[in-house]
Amino acid sequence: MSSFNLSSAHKNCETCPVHDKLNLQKLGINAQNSDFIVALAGNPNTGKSTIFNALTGLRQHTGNWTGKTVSRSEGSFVFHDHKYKVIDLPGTYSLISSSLEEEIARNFVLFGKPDVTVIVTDATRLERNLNLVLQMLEISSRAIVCVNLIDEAKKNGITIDARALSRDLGVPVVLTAARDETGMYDLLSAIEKIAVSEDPIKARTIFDLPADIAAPVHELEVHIKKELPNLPNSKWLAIRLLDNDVSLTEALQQGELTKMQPGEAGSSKGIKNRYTGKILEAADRLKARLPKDFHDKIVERTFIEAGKIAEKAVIKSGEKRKFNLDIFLDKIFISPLFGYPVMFLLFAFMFWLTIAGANVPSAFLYDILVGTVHPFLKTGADQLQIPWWLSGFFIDGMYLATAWVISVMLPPMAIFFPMFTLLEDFGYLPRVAFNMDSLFKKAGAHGKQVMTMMMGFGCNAAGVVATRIIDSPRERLIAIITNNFAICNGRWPTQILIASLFIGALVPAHLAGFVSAMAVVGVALLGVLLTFIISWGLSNTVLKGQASVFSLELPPYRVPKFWQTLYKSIIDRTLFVLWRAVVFALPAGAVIWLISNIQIGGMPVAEHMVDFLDPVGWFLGLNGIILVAYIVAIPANEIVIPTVLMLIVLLTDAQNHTGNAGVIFETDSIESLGTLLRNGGFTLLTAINLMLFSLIHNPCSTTIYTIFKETKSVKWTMVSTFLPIALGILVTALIAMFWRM
Amino acid sequence: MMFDIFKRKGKEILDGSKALLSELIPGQTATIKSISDDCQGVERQRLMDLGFVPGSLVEVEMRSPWSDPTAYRIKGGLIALRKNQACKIQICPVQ
Ligand SMILES: Nc1nc2c(ncn2[C@@H]2O[C@H](COP(=O)(O)OP(=O)(O)OP(=O)(O)O)[C@@H](O)[C@H]2O)c(=O)[nH]1
Ligand SMILES: [Mg+2]
Repeated sequence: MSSFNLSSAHKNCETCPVHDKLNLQKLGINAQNSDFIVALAGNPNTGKSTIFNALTGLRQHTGNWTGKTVSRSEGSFVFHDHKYKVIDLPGTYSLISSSLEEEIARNFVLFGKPDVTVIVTDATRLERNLNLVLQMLEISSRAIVCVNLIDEAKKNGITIDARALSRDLGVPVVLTAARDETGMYDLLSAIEKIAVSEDPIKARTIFDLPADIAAPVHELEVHIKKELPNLPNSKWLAIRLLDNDVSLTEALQQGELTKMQPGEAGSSKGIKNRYTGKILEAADRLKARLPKDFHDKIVERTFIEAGKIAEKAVIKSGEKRKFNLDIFLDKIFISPLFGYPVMFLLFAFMFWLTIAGANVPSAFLYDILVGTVHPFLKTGADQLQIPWWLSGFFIDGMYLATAWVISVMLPPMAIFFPMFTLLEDFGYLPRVAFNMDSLFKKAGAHGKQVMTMMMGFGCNAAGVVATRIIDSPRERLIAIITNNFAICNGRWPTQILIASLFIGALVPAHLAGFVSAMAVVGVALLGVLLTFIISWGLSNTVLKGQASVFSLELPPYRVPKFWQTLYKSIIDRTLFVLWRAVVFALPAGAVIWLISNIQIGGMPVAEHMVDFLDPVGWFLGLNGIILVAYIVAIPANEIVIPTVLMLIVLLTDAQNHTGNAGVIFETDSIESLGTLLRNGGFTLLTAINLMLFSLIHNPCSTTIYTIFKETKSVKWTMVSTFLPIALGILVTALIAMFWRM
Repeated sequence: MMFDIFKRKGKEILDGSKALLSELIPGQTATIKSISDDCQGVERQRLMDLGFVPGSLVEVEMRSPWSDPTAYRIKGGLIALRKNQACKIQICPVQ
């Protein structure tokens, strides 16, 4: 109780700008020469990244689902003259399990030797969180327990007695509501106190073990202490070794643990082996004396202890709320009747809003960047008598490609990303996974694959990294290979533009927006269908195996902070992605201009390429221009459409003998692009197959590289690259064949 | 394998108690008795981490539209498990 008052007393200071200036200085990623290292650990979805952002001023992605952060990231801040480096770790349920992100978290606390470990917990699920806290305190007592989400707890009639908790755990306890930055001052002071104190801290230890277990553990502990006297957590290590912890045994063999001994950093292999050999031998010998359910007993013990502590520290106000919004919402989102229709309508609505809403700003940007600024630059260049090839290279090549990318990409992204982020913060994504798991199970895949897919709708490279939340290697590989079938933001603009120009044009104007949105939704759904088919195919052939275990936490619904989310998603996702597109568009524009203007045998290189690829293009129901565009756009899908447009202009120009090839003639509005494409030979078939081919082709270079980094396998990288392109060729060729029949 | 299941079921029906988590329907509550021995390794550990340890109170909250997976309320969290895992958890029903 008293701690609530404490934190609200500080709150006045905290919100005062003078206070902030005097004490906390957020330094972003500038983490050099820090005095102390602070690790943020804890259960998934407890607000670690939110706290990280509050401390460092960075914008690490947060999201209302477990497993949002899968790799560690660093930032720093200055508080009272000390510089702190902060590490945001992935969430973990315990220190024993073996998924990749859990190992990252554990190894950092164990081997990275942080000066302070902040264990972030969820006030509404304190008991389960304490299970991890107790394990953490076992490996590092220089810790703070941060009970976050107290605002949510309050709403649910839960109060946390921080003093009782601190007394029981032996470490400081701070109550926070990180999203509103409540309690950050308390947290900072607690971090400072632990960081500067030289005294050893006596944290609570769990393991007053039953006699039959205690003796062997103690014996091994004595061994470890003898061989590695400066290791701070020898009892924990003893228990883990007796429990057959493979990764720790490996760490010991490779000398990671002995490195923690002061003065042992450069020790030779011989010494390492002498230490570790003895310890492992002893462990093997002692294992025989342990009861069979040794492991279970340890875990149960921890939970019993956690239960006891939680009972004292958590005060629940008696009355249960009559109306529970969470249950009500789940009744809708997960109901057999409404679950799927609501899901479909929600996503269809998002796409429709993106398409309908992007039209006007796209046309506006296009008018300015291409219709006004471009001629202005050209006239200026002429007046300054800049040689044609110089102004051509920069203005008609690099500038124009970039202008096109911006006007085609920025508006849809600026609408889609904020909406998606709002949905993510709300907590809807895990519900989609829950609804669809059965289908994934039938395909032999993991239910969480759906979440990696949804990350893929933003960016496939991000989707591939997100597959770390899937524990089983087989199912993770399936998720990686099929992630490309989630249309990424680099491909949305192609879908949207072609759908509006060709499919929307088939129906009366007032229906155009709706129909083109449905066409895009159709392509996206086809991608989902392909995901199932390919997953099923893989798990019945090269990646044979049973669908493994699946556990998914459904977080509470959280009302997103609207403006904050909007701002963040524009800055982080939209501008970030746009920046990437621009970085690729600049050189691509230069390449396009060059291949359009360098002549071989009286004909530009590009035209040779187009002529050469035209028959292949015809066979696929596409054309040579599109294929050349896809070759130029291998680095990034974003620039396919601009490349197509520029190449069409070039060819038309060349035919008209207007000279100065590779420049758009004055298409002053975005609608006239349709005419331009039709003049370039585009038909309805070309449009449909372009949309399909954009869905089904090789991943972009960044994604391919990410797949290689994540799988560390050339073979699977090749499969992920060539499987979709082969499939794309097959699908488009078949459609072209039937279309012409 | 098959016979094992029948045998176990038969015995539990004699006890007059529903005995597997997967057999509960939404709205029902139980305490966890044990995790079956054929659930080992990472799978067992994960279930225990999430709070499926002997003595924990568990309530069935909802089923997915395809009736699998099912979401359980345990130790304050809402956890979805597939049927083939829930059937490895033995329980004692609570009235
Ligand atoms: N109401 C409320 N929401 C919060 C608070 N702190 C974080 N959140 C929200 O909780 C969700 C999870 O926050 P994250 O910071 O992504 O959690 P995390 O611990 O980094 O999660 P993982 O990376 O998955 O381990 C987000 O939707 C946050 O906006 C808080 O104090 N109060
Ligand atoms: Mg995080």
